[in-house]
This record gives sequence, structure tokens and C-alpha cells, in this order.
Amino acid sequence: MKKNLSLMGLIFLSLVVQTTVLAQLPHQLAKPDLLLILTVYFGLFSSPLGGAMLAFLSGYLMDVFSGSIFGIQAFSKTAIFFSTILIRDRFYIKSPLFQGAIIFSLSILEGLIIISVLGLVSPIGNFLPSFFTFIIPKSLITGLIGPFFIPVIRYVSLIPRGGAIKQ
Amino acid sequence: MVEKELSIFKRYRILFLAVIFLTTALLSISSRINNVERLAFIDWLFLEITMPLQKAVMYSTEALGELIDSYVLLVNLKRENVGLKKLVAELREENNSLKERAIASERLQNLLRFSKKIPTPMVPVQVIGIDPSTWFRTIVIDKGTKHGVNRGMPVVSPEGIVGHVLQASPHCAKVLLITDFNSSVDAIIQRSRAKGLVEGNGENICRLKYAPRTHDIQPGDRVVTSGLGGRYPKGLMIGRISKIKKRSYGLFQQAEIIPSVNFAKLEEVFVVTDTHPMEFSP
Repeated sequence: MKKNLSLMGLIFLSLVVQTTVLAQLPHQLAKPDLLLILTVYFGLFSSPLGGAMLAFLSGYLMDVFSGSIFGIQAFSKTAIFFSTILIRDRFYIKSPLFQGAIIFSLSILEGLIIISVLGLVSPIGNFLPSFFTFIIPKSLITGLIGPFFIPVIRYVSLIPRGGAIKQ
Repeated sequence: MVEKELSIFKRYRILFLAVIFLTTALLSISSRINNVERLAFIDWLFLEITMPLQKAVMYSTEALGELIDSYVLLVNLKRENVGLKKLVAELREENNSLKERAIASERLQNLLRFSKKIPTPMVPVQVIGIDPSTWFRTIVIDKGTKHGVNRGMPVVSPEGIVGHVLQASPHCAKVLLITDFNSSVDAIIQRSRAKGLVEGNGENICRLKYAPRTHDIQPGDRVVTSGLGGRYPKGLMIGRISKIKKRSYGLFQQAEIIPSVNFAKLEEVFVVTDTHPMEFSP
């Protein structure tokens, strides 16, 4: 419970960083999706119920601060969480290389999920060009940042149990 | 029997959880899709809790940026002349500070002049958050219903229109920018008075749609609000035509618009609180 509370705090903090510090970077630069890294972390290291709730919360919060199709991020983040759960037993999840690769792949998957849902619910239609302009650069930078951010998440999740000392 | 049901649940636990959570998310999409301006209590709560933190981080980032700039400046001066480093640094710092003040003063004077031009009450607001997703274009401002900011109100800047208030909580509000693909503004070409609908495309440009193909539209033309639809005052600058797409068939022509507002550098904007029909003279 305490672990989940500290992770909820980290979700809020990541959202604030994403809506302020990262959002101030030049428009041309791809920005990492910290909440996606958190979601992948929950999928790799959390219990199915607790992780699903945290992943849903991450997406829900992004929806609150984001554009007008409400629920789209909650859906995509939850789908990414369960996708991670499905594959986590097949790999050595503590390898930073794997973590970077899986975050990159799941970021692309999330982009495709969002494009599909947008295609279904939006009257405007063709979002496919965004795959190359938005999704690939964003996935690359998120995949690169991921292996460095995951130890931070791990540290925060261990704070209620004494932090890194007891690792 | 109960044990058997429990063992089934344990076996397919992840599947059950996935179905429950994904269905909840899908339900939230379908429940809000036709009512995007509704602000649920829980959304309101999250916005209100996060706002002070956002405000603090935004100000700290700006301060840190200034600090880093000063540091870089000092390093360069050290390379040039160690003896004069202190003096030059002080002078430059003073110069920077004065320039910053001059820019801020000019910006505020612009805002003041602009607010006097529009014959309607407006609330000056600060941008405290920017859309975290890649897909949508919204910003969070630091005033809400307690300051008279309500949903649907137009948001403008001296350069032109910014968007409209999508949702408002007591102390902050979310603004849908005109570059969001869900935004549409009734517009006219200032030179030829050709009409059309300006829609966002999710990037930093807009598109002029439904302009009859016989109407005269040229690259470089200024696009302004028409005042129709009742949301935006008439005559506010939207942007300039950059490209025209005219096919050999069809009733309409399309054009690409570069917005006059630089959305990446938005700091202070105005919320027009009186939405009665009005005209703005640029």
C-alpha cells in the first residue's frame, strides 16, 4: 500500500514535469513520455491489480491534462500495462538493454493504439502520417531515457521500506 | 462450487482484470465523446491538486533557465579574459537583467494596448501547463471560475486568437488551442472577404476548409475571425495563408494557415469574459 502511494506520488510528479519542464522544450524536439515508462515499470515489476490501477491512473491523469477525447490515454496505458504483463516472464527484465527495447516497442504500440482509437472516434480521420512524425521520435527518446528512469522509480518504490539501503 | 469459481478467477485473473480496466477506459471514452466540455468532480480535483505544483515547477524552471544562462555566460567570459571576468560578468548580468525588464515591459505594454483595443472585459491569465500528450493541443491557465473564467470563453493574445476554454475548475482552466484537431473557427480572408472554416491539425499549423473554390485566396493573405458562431470576436487575427490546395474538381478549396500566435512561447493570454457579439479592429 505504502509502495503504491509513493508510486502515485511519482506519477503526479512525472505528470507535472511532463506538463511544465518537458513541455517547454522546443516544439521540434521529441519529448519522452515519463508516464509510459512508469506504466512499463508497473507491468514489469508490480502485481497485476496494483499495477493495473496505477497504469489506469497514469492514463487518466494524462487525460485530465490533455486534449478533448477523454479516456484515450487511460485506455492506451492500461493496454500497455497488460501487454507488458504478458511478455515479462519471457525475458530477463532487469537488463537495461531489454528495458530500453521494450519501452521503445511499447511506445510504438501505444501510438498505434491511439491512432486506431482516434481513427474510430474522430471524424477527421487519417492520423497515419503521425506515425513517422510523432511516434517514432517519441518512442526513440522514451526508449533511451527509460533505462535511466527505471532505477529512479525502483528507488522511489522502495522508500517506504527504507529506500536503496535495503535493496 | 465457490472454490471452483475462485480457482477459475485465479487462473484467469489477468484476463479478468484486463477486461475490467479496458472496459472502464472504453466506457469513459464513450461517455465523454459527445460531451467534451464536462468536467467530472474527480478531474476537477486532480486539476486543483496539481495546479500549485505546476505553477511552482514552471516558475522554478524559468529561474533555473536564467541561472544556467548566467553560468554559461560566465564560462565564456573566463576564457576571454580572467582579469576582467568579474567586471564583464556584472555588466552583462546587469545588461541582461535590463534587457529582460525591457522585453517584459514591452510585452506587458503590448498586452495593455491590446486589452484597451478590445471593447469587452477580459481577464489576464498566465499559462502554467502544456498538454503532456503528443496528440492534443491544450494549455492550462492559472485562473478559473472564481475569477470569472468559464467554459466556452475565447482566449486571445495580442498576436491573435489562442483558443477557447474547454473546462474550468475554481482556480484553473484548460484551453483548447486552435491548432488542436478538434478545434474549428469560422473565418474570413481579410482582403477578399472569402469565407471558410479554420480547423487545427494537431501540429503547429491550421487548415482553411470549406472555402468555395471560386473565392479569391492567395498565399500571404491574412485570415481573421468572422464573428459568426458567436464564440470569437470579429476581426481577430488567426494567421496567414501559406499554401493553397485547389483540385481541378470539387466545390471547395483548402489552404494551410500559419497561425499568428507562437504557441510554443505563450506566457500571458487573455480570456474574454463577455461573449456578446462584438467587433475587434486590428
